Amino acid sequence: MNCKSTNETLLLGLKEKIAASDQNSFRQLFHLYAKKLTQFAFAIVKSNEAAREIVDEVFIKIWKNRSSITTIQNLTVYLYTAIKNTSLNYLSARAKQNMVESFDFFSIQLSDNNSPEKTLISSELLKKINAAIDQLPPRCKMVFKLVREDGLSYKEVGAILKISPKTVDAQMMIAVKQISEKVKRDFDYFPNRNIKKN
Amino acid sequence: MVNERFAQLIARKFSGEANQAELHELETLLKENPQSQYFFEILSEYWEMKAVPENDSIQEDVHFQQILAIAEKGTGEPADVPVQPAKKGGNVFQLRKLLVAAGIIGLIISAYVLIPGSGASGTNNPAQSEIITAKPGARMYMLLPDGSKVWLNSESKLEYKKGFNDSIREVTLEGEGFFDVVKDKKHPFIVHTSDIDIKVLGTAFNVKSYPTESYIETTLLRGIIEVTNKKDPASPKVLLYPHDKLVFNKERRSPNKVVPLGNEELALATPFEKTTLSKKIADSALAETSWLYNKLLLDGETLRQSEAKLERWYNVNIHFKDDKVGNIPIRYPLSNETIEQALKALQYVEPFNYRINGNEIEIWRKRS
Repeated sequence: MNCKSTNETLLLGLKEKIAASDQNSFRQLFHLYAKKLTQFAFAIVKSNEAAREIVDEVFIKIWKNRSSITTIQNLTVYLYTAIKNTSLNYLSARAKQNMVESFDFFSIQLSDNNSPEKTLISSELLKKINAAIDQLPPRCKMVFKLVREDGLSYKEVGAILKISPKTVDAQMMIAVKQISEKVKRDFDYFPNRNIKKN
Repeated sequence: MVNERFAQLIARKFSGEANQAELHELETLLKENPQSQYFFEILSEYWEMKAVPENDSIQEDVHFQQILAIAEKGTGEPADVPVQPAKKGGNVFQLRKLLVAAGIIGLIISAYVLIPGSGASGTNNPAQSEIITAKPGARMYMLLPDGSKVWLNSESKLEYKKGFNDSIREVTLEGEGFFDVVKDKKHPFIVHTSDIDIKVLGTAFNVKSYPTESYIETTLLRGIIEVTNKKDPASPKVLLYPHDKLVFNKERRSPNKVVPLGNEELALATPFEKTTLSKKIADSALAETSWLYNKLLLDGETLRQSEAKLERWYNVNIHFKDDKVGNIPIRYPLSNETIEQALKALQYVEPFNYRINGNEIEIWRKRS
């Protein structure tokens, strides 16, 4: 997609300026990612305060080690991976045991969607979709979140979660299929396009 | 009803992973299964729903400042930092509130500091300035170093100093320009004209300030802007909201004008007059902004009243040969017409004769 390549050029420029201690570029980087990374951290640790601390920690590290930022190949993958690791460390410390990173063993909290005004989707239908996603296995849910909410590519998601892009593809297939099955009944009631907002 | 391959293609399409062949395959599948189209549309809508809330940029900026402060300190021990979120709930919240307030105060102060200084920093130093001009008959579009966009109408000049950057954003305008300013709450963008200064934070607005005309017009499309009378800095600033249009009358600009006794009305007269434009009209159909869409809108003015506009637009000189011509109000949108085509079109509204000789145009009344 087009926006992805412009994003890459933007990041390349930012990296160089940050390496040269440009605070404004660092600020830009922060604004680009803060929200999404906080939500990503929140999905794992499920605490707003902890999520914020984790994001702080990662950005503080970035600035302290800014001179080597240009050696990072894919900054997006780097940031998400750093958030993931820091979040897992946080959980491990609290659970007094090492958390494995497959995400298979703990629940994932997704962010709320904005209210469905002005869309085809009624709030009833939205509930069904959300419920369908909620019932996905944790790893599948995380893949779906990163692809849809954060706009990451299969390759990037694979790199962050340490799975192959093929697995990401398969997980996405499962997610879409599950949603289609869970909301299927709606179509039986409304075969035509007349579901509007309530 | 959605099999695995179908689901895979749908997922690939929405995530931007699908190639041409796959998109084609998906299209065929959708055509063959009309019922699945509905699911496809629902999911497409769902995909676009924003899960990430709107940015609260002030909050986020405060957060950023805290992070930078810690990172700069070098110790990295959160304990060193006065404002650290997690541990002490109530106090920290108060502090954060304070910081937000401080940010806002800083903003207002910087506005005061900037305005008096900026008036003097006008056009005197051509060696260190960039000057961009749109010649008569031409219009220009450019990007300023901070990413803000500027369109210049015919016979207009925009000047900014070499030091223009992300933190000093000041330009001087003579003529008409449309500005789409990149938002930066910390660094106001200032447009200086002969008589007024316009301070903005991040908006889109039009300014018309030709030296030959006695009015300066400012029209706001988005955001908020603040206008000051340079000759009378003590006078209250005027705030504009979207679709406000402010007309500054240069004849009334001097605040110290001697007022004849008993004529208090004149003494109170402000050079500013504010009106609100209809929000229902598209930008392209608004006389103030239609020029951006390469349209010259005659909006109920007579040919004589639009003389200057037409002269600039087509780079011509118009001469009215008798008093009786050019007095009928005209409502007509001109776009890609040549001057000759334009005159032919206008003849339908008001019958007149014309002669074109190079850039000179003569107009006289048609005898019936």
